[in-house]
Amino acid sequence: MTEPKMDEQALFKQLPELESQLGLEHVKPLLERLSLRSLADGEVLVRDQAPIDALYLVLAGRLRLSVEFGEHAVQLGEVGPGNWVGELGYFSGVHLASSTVTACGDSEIARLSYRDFDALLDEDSVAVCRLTHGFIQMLMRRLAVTANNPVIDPHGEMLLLGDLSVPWSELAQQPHGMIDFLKKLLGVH
Amino acid sequence: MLLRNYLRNLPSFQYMSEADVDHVAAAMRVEEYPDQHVFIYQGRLNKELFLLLDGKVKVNHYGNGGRYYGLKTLQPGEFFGLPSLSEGKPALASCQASGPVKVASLPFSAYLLLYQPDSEIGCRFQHVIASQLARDLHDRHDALRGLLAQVYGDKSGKIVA
Repeated sequence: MTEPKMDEQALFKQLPELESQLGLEHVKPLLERLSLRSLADGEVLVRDQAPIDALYLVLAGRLRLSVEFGEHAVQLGEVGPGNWVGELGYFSGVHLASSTVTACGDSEIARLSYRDFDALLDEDSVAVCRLTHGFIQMLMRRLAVTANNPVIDPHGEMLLLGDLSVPWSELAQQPHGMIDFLKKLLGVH
Repeated sequence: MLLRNYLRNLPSFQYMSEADVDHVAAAMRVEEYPDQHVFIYQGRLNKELFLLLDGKVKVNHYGNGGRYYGLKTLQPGEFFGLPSLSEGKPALASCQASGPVKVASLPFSAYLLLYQPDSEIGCRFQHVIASQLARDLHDRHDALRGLLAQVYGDKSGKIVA
């Protein structure tokens, strides 16, 4: 079955902030490669350590991430709209899911295959550059949360404290130009 | 050992052009450090990007419950110091030499110049950064699986002696 392709209006309706993150002219090449998918509450998108070949952008709802060992798990937390999953499998080069991803409530996601992400690099390197900047922010947030060992909640479940999701205000922020360079260098915010 | 040849062979540098590699190598300084040298202190700002060329560096975290534990041991070819450098926030972990090491360092100003978005080299340098962060997180997830194995035993549920 072919998954429905995404149109510009549908994307901007759900994620108007994507335009400010990528720039209007860089959204179209991305859209041409995105396909839509709905997940029901509790549906598993991918299992920890299973092969993975795509990046997934959360459009609506939330995705819960957990690291598993046999029947046991550490709950890493949840990610919301604007955040992606699957980037660890791509950038680590292992192409295996690094966690089980489960819909937390009915959710809408957009799929971008690793192959299409590579193709986008040839067609629109600026879009890839801005997306990669977002992936770096997400990876750093997830590293910060996983730096601590998990705690055990009253139900006996192991979980990490902290918010895995990077807010839009940070994702849409692009470090541009010489002024930002000098501000960062001088430690002025 | 020429630094540019070392960089050229790193998998994360696959998209870097010869000129890019020359720029990165020219901006880095290679030095040898003794056992126990501390490159980064947890809670302090880090102002350099480090690349381990030879030896081992331990990454430790003083975490919740007042416990001090190892997050990972870096192998040659790995960058460290990224989150604090990139976010301008205090480091979440300390990085200390385990035995004598050889390390290349890139100052903050050069890091910012290389990271400039919308430039060709910036785009390719971001790939290098993202690859190292993904490797760090991958290792951290492995450590969490190891923790589950310690607590709950092997996958069949038997407690490991």
